[in-house]
Amino acid sequence: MESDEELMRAVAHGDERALASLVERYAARIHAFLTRVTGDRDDADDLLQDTWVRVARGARGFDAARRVRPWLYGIAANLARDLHRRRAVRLRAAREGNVAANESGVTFRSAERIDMRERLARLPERLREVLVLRYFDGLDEAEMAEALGIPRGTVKSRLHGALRELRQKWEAT
Amino acid sequence: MSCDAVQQQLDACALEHALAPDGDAAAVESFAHAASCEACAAHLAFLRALDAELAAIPLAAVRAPVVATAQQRATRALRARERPRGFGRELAAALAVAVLALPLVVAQAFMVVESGAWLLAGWVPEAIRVWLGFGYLASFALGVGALYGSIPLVVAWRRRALREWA
Repeated sequence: MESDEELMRAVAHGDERALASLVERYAARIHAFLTRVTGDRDDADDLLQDTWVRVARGARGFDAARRVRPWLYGIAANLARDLHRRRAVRLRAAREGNVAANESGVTFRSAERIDMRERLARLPERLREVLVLRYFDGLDEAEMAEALGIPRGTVKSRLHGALRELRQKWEAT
Repeated sequence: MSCDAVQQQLDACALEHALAPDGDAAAVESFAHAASCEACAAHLAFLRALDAELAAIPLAAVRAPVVATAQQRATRALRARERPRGFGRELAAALAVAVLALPLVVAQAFMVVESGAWLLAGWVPEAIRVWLGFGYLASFALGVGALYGSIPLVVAWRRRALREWA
């Protein structure tokens, strides 16, 4: 079986079969990551497509010294962050206009009934994405640092920060 | 080992789905410490609850049509990225249209300056009229330059968009 990096080199030369293999290999994992980070399956569907379009557009400029997996997760995480920012702007605008709307896509129940999915959804995005990448996707610290473009020390502190916050929320309920 | 170090070690075990006292020496020591320390035992209880709850979160699998669409869009983007054929011809056509329109645009600018000069002639000093005319023509030239300069970019963007969405 060809490695991710070999497939990516082929994609850079316009090989559609290699692109199809990469999509097949990673679509489910990237979609699961996006669902967990955005909290919404439909958003994850859209972002999954955008991720692969970006991969195809960026294939020629892909640095052969890099690993493919963190690069893919990095693209997906960037798209999720962009979506989060756009949502935040819309939500702020709605609040300023006194429109009672929850556009975040996440509806929270009362504190005593919240479960772990909601606790996860309530984590700040920067903490949630590292936790999801580590716990569910199994990326190591170096891969996460590469994917998110942050130092390894920051990855470590965010991971512990995420667990600390979850523990506080867990103890509070 | 301090409680902080033990809890960090336990965090690492939880993130690796290894919350059993059978890992490396540091992990074994941490679990032994947690067995006799109330604070660390509470942290371990939290991590076990977290592990169980996170593992129980249902996750709907990605739908096949979504993957198929993603693949189609990516393939189109890959094809669109190749050097577009006929780009020169399309660019030449766009530039020809733009150049044909140029005399009209220049004539209109000239008329604006002339009319302005005529309207202001009686009550604005000549130096100010010249300065206003120069300012208008300079910004006009900049605008036209930016517009014509953007034509190749717009043609390239349009071609890529058409190929990706074809």
